[in-house]
Amino acid sequence: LPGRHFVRTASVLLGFAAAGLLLLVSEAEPARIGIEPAALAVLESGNIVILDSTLGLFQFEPRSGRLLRMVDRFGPFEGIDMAAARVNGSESLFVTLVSRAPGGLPRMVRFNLQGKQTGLWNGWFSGIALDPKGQVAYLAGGQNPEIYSLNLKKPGSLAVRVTRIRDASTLGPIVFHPQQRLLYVGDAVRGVVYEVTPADRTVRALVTKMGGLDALCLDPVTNRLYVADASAERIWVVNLAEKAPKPKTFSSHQGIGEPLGLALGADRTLWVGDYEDGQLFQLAQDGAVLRTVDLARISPQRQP
Amino acid sequence: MSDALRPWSVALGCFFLILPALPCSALDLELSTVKMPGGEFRFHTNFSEPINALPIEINGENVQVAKTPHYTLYADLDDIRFTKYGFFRYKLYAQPRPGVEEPLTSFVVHGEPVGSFLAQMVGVDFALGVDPVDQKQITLPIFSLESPGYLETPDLTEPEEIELPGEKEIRLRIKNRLEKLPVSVTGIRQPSPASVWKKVRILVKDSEDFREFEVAAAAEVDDVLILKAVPDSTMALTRALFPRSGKSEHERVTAYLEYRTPWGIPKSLEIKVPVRFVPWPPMLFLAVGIGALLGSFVPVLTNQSRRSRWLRAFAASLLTAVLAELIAILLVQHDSEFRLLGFVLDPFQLLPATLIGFFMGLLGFKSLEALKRVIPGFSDK
Repeated sequence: LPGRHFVRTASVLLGFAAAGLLLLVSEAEPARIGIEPAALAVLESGNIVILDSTLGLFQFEPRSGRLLRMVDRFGPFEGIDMAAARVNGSESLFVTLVSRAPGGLPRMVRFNLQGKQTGLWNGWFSGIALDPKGQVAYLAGGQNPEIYSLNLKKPGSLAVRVTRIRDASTLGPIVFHPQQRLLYVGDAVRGVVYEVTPADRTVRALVTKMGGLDALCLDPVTNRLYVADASAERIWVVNLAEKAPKPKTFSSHQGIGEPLGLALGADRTLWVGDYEDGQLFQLAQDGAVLRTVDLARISPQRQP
Repeated sequence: MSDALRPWSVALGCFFLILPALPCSALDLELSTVKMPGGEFRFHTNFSEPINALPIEINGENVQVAKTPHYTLYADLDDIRFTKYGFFRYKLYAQPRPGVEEPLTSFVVHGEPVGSFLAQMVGVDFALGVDPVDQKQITLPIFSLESPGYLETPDLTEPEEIELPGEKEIRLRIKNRLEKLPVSVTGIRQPSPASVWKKVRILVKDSEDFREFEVAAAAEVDDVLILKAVPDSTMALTRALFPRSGKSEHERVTAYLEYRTPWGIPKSLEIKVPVRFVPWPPMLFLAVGIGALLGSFVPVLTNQSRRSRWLRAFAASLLTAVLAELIAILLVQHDSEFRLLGFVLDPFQLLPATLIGFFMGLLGFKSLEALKRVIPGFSDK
């Protein structure tokens, strides 16, 4: 019968069309990956850059909720820390890397916002802080409790030792206070924040007895220092205006399991990267959670 | 005492009277550094705070307990975390015994590995309390970032023989070097399929593919991991025909096992399986025959022998070559060496087998004399 023949032909054609559509959709929808934020930085655009130690660099647009892939993995290296600043007129990202392969040289690498490597400095560093005005990077030593400086204008230049912190064990995160020209560096193992004056190389223990120090973030306007403490599962806040400041719990929100990254948004809200659950939290100035971003639910797209 | 001072002294007196009744949050916990050959593990108690209730199951499988006269100390091993900057975080809880006024306290303790040592469970001395201070030991796992591997493959020095054509399953022996910690094998990086293989994979027994398995503390297993290798006969024969100089292996299968101890950091074991391709025995005799044929042509072509005698000379040399090959196989199988004109030859390989045939073919009738020299004791008679 022509009717039956028509139905059979139509159903076969529909089947092919559905299969084709499915294929198109599956190709258009990039696979979701479990990003584990190990460090955060904020760009001038207000976008948040996320460092995943192995997967690379990603850019999160808070307005659109889009996630863009900037750097696809670091080869045989693992990212430790990251900072963003405008150097020589172009906004860049500086990432400290260690080698996973035995004998590989640890380094600091500069990337432009298109994800292209534009500079390389050899040395074993953990935390990184930038002084964009002085075009200098301050780095915490990965092997020794020492602080180094690097000339950002000259890729490949050698690191210069600023000072050694005698009582420290393993230096981790570091931030630069642009107005007071001070460095704050954390002893990640002992839970101590040191205040370092690069000009005269003096060091003093500012805060002690915190759990661990995984990230530091400075708000130079309010003179607040935020400390991500994954060991004690909280964010501390330290009032730098006080002479002998005591850390106060800024947020111990239960969802923040392992905070490893901190970044201050242009609106003075604090972005927290939770390594354990692959999430970003946006915290208000009183520590209240404004927004939660589950990175596992967003598929990263290629940068335009 | 003046009237002005009286209210202050009363207030001060009252404060000291109620002071012992106030819960004190400054409970101290100190864990001693563990020293061992090759390195040490330093503990730092950074942060403590009073808590309302224990957040762990005190009878949990992975909860370590130490009881002192005044406290019970718990360590939740499942909450040990390797941190971003290369140390380990432990969470411990001190529960006061009835009658002790101190609060239930949670401690964050960091473990800093220095040097190289194997992961292990150790008794760690600790001091806990304010006054008096209790001292005891608690068992904790400790780890080193620079430690040698926990797993090893003990007997992979001699090449595994794979007969051509064919396939082979090789059992891989794995030993856990840790005395008190099991090791979980969590993943594998399969060998790269080089041109010499049709298929080469490491599988777990009774499984189509790799699956996670555990090697108990101090155990040695040889019935779990299996290397399944199917060589490409042509490529493998080429390798067997032209082996790399000075090496008894023709190919090396390299794979990596990803493993970890409970609560520790991931590690990787490189498995290198040396492989030797052994041609099917009739192929060896075919090679001997071809060698003898080629060798027998030489005296004829150089006019050192008459053409009419070639067939008989070839027949004699073929016979001696086959016998020489058989003797050589027997010798090598019994750990002896087979030497021909001062050269050590492996009769299981195609090129040496061809050479044996070639030499015998070259000698013609004289090959019988050469054979006598090869058979021990025969030449003296």
